[in-house]
Amino acid sequence: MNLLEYALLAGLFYGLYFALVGVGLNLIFGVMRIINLAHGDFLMLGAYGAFYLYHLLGWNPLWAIPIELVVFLLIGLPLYYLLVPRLQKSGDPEMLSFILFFGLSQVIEAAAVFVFSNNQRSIPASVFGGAPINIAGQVFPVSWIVSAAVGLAGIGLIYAYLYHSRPGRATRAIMAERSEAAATGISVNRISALAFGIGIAAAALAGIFSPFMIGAIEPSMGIGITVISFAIIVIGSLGNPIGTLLGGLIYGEALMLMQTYLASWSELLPYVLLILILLVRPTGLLERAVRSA
Amino acid sequence: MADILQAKGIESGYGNVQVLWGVDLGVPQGSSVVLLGPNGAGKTTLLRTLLGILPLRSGSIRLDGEDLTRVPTERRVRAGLAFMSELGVFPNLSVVDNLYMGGYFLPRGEVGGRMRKMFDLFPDLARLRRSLAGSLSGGQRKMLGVAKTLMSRPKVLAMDEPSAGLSPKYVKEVLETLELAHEEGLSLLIAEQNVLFLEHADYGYVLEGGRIVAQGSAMDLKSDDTVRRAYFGMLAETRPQET
Repeated sequence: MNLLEYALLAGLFYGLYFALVGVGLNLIFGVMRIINLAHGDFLMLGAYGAFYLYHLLGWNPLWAIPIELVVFLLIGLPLYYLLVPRLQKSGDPEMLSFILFFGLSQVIEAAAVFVFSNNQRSIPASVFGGAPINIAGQVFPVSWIVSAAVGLAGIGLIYAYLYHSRPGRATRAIMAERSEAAATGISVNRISALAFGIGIAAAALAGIFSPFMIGAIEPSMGIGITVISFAIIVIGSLGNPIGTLLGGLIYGEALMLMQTYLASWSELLPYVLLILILLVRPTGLLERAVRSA
Repeated sequence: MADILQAKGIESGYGNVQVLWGVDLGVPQGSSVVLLGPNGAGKTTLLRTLLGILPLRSGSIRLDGEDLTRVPTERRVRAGLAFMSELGVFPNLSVVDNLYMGGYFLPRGEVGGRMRKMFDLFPDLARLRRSLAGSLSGGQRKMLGVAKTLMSRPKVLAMDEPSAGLSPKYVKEVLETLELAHEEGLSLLIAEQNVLFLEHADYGYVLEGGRIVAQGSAMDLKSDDTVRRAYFGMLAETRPQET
């Protein structure tokens, strides 16, 4: 019984964190109908950012948050203008986006090996203070609670952006009907570029906490994270960023239950969940049919 | 009367296919102008070009004296040229969110008041404010489309086939909605196949094969032989024997 309580609570923390891991991928898919296969690689870059700020300057990972949000937003905006408008003029943007972003993923990974080397890196969990926190009779590392809180805050901010800001409303309009948004006079490119930047910044933000939640930082970690993120957003409904919260929670709970009771199988989890959801409910748990994507 | 919207020598198309060949068109201040033409004549292309959604190959566009030829869609909407596409609304957004999008360019403080005005004008929409636009009836959807474009206080409203896919009952509703919009002082440019709209218009153009083939006051057009043959087929047969 104790074990189950522990698994469920840990699953909640992991779930909130993994919602943040997936939300950027979903936002970009929702707005651009493009799967950013380099999603996990941006997360990896965010992780290295936090590592070097800690290692070289002794900065707490929490201080990496504002810096990385700004830096990755500024990387995302020009990257959008460089890649996406050209892609969307092509005959088959969705298929080509796979090739393009897969290529981008490979380039980032190769450059990361070159710059950061293949050595595994980590940030000690003790940066957030030593004593573990006692919740409902169970003891959890502070780093888990912090990661979960940041995950929840990240999703909350994206929700506030989408539902209570002007560019956010325009973003939802583009998600709903791109051509109608253009006809309404919304500058589709500018709003999409913002969404792209926010999606990449969200990935980097999740990356800051990956040493505590996912494991050692290394250049090749990206692809696995992209797969996990993809599973999470398919569960929560593709193209619905807020649905990512549900996908993340289900993934987090499933992961913790697997690690508790069936540890040796837990590596398979994202694939199993992906197959299950595609068999049972291909449009995701939140009812919203995927448009011809 | 001076033309509030003035398009000269419009040429436009898709890829290698040119659709419009030197179209001249004007919408006089406060008037309602109908652009008649069969499917594929280039009506939608013309409206989309006027809005800058499609690039202009040559020609010029002026709105209320301001040259809009080279500016992006956003600036044209801000300048007072609104467009209601055949879809007209965001089906996956609520009525309120649709109106918000229509008022996207309004100063923040004006949005609320403008929305209340729309709800006064179209009480049906007030009742349905939380519903998804996609769940509305065809007529209500067009009503929302009109309200959405009116949000931004446009000077000219360009509409693409407001009667498309509607039963005659709803077409009547749309016409009533447009009368309301017209009373708001709006100038209208309506692309249509349904000649019924000519009855409610001041002026008309007939577009065929990407060229204006006839134009004149609504009265003149209705008695024009080519127009009668093409659009009033039934009426032509029952024409009183005056010749």
